[in-house]
Amino acid sequence: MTEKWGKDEILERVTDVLVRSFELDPADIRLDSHVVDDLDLDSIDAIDLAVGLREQTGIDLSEEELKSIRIVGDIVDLLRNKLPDA
Amino acid sequence: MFSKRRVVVTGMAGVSALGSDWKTVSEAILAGRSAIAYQRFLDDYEGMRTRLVAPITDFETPAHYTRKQTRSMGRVALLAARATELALDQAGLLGATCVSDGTTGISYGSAAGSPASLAIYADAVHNRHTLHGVRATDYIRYMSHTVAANLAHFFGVKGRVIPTCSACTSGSQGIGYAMESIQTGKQDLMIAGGAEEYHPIETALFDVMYATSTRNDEPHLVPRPFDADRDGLVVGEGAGTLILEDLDHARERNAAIICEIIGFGTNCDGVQVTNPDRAGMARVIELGLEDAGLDASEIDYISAHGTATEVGDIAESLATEAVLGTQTPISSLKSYFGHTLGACGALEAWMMIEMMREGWFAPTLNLDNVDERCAKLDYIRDVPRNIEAEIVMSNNFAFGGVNTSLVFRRWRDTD
Repeated sequence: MTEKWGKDEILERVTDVLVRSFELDPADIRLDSHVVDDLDLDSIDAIDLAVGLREQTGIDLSEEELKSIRIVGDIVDLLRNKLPDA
Repeated sequence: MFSKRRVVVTGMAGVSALGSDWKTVSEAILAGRSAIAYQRFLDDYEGMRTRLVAPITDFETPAHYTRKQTRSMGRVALLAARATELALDQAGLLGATCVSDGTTGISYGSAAGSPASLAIYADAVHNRHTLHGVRATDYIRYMSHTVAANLAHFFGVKGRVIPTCSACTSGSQGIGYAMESIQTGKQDLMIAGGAEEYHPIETALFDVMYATSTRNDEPHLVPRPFDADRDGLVVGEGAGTLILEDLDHARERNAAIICEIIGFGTNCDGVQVTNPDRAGMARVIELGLEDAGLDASEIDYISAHGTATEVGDIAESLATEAVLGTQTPISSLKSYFGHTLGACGALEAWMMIEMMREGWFAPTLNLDNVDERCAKLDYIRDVPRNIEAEIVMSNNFAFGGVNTSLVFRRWRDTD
């Protein structure tokens, strides 16, 4: 990763992973979307989310980090914090 | 002595290269139409001699199947789910409480899990020494009992699950062990059958044994079970499901009864792991008869395994002659849609029962001159034969020397 992404760009990439992995409508994905209540994801999906995010961003999420995700904004924040400084 | 409960078929369906409903399948059979086709993609495999496959070309995952239902399914499980959905619908059990309250179990198999998903794991872990790119459901799609487990998940089944993964007897053992589960009172209802999805690895495994047909320019002329000019089998795909039910349970819910299953024999040759053994085959046919309490003369039609391999055809025909004599009409449905491996026992049982109900039986396609080394049986050839059969038998044989014989009886409302 050569430059720090902005929050919008990260959300765009997370949305892309969510749409491709879980047949979701991009219009349903917002920063405050709840991954279980709004997007209907479960523990199996969490693993595939990690696989998709790694393919998309090169970033690995730990089991604890995955478990901490409640809303889409949590994913964006996790990725933001793990990105190297510009 | 406990008395065995009677077991009836109350639903059945299949997804096959000839069609996925009996009307379409029977029209193809009556027109003498086979599903064998030249497949150019087999050009890409060094050493592959055959180019022939019997693929299902029109299967699409039904739109009402949800992502969470299908994410753990490879094609093999999807084919099985569709066949089972159609069979449960015919039985009047789609969405019924008794399917998902523990009353119903599953006995179902395939020769393999989804090869495409196994390839993902093998490529990552074995070739590239990485876990990256492997998804949570890839294992579930290729595990040995993927079909039975996915069916249980899909239909909410909470009874016993018996994965009958014994290569080409997966489907017939599925039906047989389902019957025994009901006879002994362990379950009142069973979803039974077998499935297989096509993958070049399945053609390869027979090709390396010189067991495939290589008449690549004449797909309509192969396979040729029991024919002097046979040159091997053609691999197909599909899924077949029978809904088996305790007779009293079926009567209590006023189910339409299709036929009764009255015999199941299974054994093992215990001799050679790939070559069929005539004695073992003959013994399983005897076991089927004994289980049904019948004499050989009471069988009105035999659905042969009839793969069109030299060793298989000769051994099967001689074993059939040894137990059943030469007077019982026999034919091989594999001449129409190839060898569907884990699905064949279930697809062939489904079609045989449909033909029994309609009073005719299919001829073996491409059987022009019976191989002199085969027993002189009453092979149905050229045209369908009208037979008002009361009792029919379906035999299947698998690598590993596993053999099965299933016996069904026509149902009459006076029974």
